[in-house]
Amino acid sequence: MLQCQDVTKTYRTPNGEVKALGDVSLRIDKGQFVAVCGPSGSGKTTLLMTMAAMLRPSAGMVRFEEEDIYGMAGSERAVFRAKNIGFVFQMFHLVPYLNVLENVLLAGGAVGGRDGGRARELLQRLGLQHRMDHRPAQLSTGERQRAAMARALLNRPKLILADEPTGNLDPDSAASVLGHLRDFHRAGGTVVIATHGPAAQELATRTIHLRNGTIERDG
Amino acid sequence: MFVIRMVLKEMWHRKVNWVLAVLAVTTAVAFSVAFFTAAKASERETARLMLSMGYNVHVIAKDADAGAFLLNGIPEKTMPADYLDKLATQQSISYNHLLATLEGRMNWRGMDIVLTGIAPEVCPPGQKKPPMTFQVDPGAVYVGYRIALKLQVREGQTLSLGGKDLKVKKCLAESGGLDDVTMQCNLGDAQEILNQPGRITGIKAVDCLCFEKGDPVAVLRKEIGAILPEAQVLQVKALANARAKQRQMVHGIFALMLPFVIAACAVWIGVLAAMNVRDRQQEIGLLRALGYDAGAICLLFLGKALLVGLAGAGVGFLLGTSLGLKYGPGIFEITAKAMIRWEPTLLVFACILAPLFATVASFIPTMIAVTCDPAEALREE
Repeated sequence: MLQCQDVTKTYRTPNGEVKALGDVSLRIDKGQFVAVCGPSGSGKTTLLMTMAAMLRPSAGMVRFEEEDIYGMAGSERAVFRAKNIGFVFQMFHLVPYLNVLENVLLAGGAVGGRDGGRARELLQRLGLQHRMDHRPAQLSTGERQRAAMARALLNRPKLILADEPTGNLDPDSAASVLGHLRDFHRAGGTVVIATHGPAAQELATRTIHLRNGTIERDG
Repeated sequence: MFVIRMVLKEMWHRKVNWVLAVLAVTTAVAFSVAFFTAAKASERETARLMLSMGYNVHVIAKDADAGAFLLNGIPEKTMPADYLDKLATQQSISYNHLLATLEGRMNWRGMDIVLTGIAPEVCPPGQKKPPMTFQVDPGAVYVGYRIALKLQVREGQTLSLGGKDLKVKKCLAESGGLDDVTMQCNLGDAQEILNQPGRITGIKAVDCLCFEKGDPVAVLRKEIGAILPEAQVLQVKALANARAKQRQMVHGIFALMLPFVIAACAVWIGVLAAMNVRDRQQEIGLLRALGYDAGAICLLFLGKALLVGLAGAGVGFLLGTSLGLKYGPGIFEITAKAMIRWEPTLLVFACILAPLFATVASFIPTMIAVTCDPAEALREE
């Protein structure tokens, strides 16, 4: 489904160039639940952003279902991303002035469909039916992450990329979020999760260990 | 529609930013409206005040001795009265306030006086303005201060001048000039008294060349010479220069201040828009990550700028007009009534230009938002 081939990402900083990823090659098959582990600064977020068609690699190629995603024009890639990939962030990134339902529907804007029925159904499934009209500031952190999950699921993506989605959550909320990712996986979806926690690794069908921007261990 | 709803919700959410931005546009519009109104009133007021200094152009007969005229203040030769009609019917000319006079010296009750016959002031087509001087009805006379004092003339008296009876309409206040020894009557009466039917000694006028470059006398002589080859033109330079310089100064002050105020407000809006973009980096990053294109991001920020501009235009227009109506009459005593009023055309201009102005001021911050790298924005905590 997703293939990274010799992917390198270098950032320019005032102190010189920093290599975040170095010649990373991996393949993620449909239906896998992959945990990407490693210490801070090992390149987990950069790898996920690169896979998500959000961060062009300095070298190498990323293919999604045999299509070179960075070979597409920017606008084409944006629509491709919206249709195929759901992203869950550690910091939730909900728009503060929209209510929960509107935040979920935001994901449908770029692909021209705001399916209110599906958004409500997702919110119900995620236990947020009574919070639809609330603003993010009125939610608990666990509820915020579940709202972000609903947003990621709206367009029926094939792949969900989650960047430390439980990093800011209490154990119960973390378990709830991981449970929903597991449900998505069980329904045939593919999940790649960057994580420090053992709970996510237990759910994963495969674990990739990163260190200093390279794959230390895969299996 | 969703993006427009987002614009409205964001404005409601960040009220302070929105209010400050509207305040910036309001200030620019209010200043523009007040300045525009005040500038018009001020220029008109200045023009009117300068007019009170008197006529600065004299058209006299070509064969009159200009030196003697300057020495005595009265032309010694006459010319046909229809010269006035010729000047008054011209289009696109550089003079206005045409006043035909017939002046002559005479001795009345043992006193040397000047008799001046005055025709009603006329304006060339398209230059209609209120007259600078009073109009004298047939059979009436205005008596100069020294004459009235020395010969005990009082208002309402009937005087006999050259065998014609004239009723004293008014005894004039002391002027300190030739007017103090002058009797002013209707042109027709003066022609009869001085036995000069159909004749005048001069035409007085005011030039309209305050903002022209070059020598105004040369322009006037060329224009009037083509219409009246049998006349000569003299200009009272000191008067004309003072008038031109005063009007240019007033015009210059407004021309300098308005762009300065508008530029300051543009910077203000630009800074607020930049702060708004900075506050919303993650939101912009999220929208880009969700697949929203540059057009949607532009609409989000420029749509807000348009609404800020429209709100500022309305409030600014009301504020500017109110300021003009409240303080204008105290400043511009002569012209405020005619010049300072509710101007719907200014509202139309404000509603078109203010949103444009706010949009242009927000353009650079919007471009920063459009080029935002989603990965960078979303990584920031």
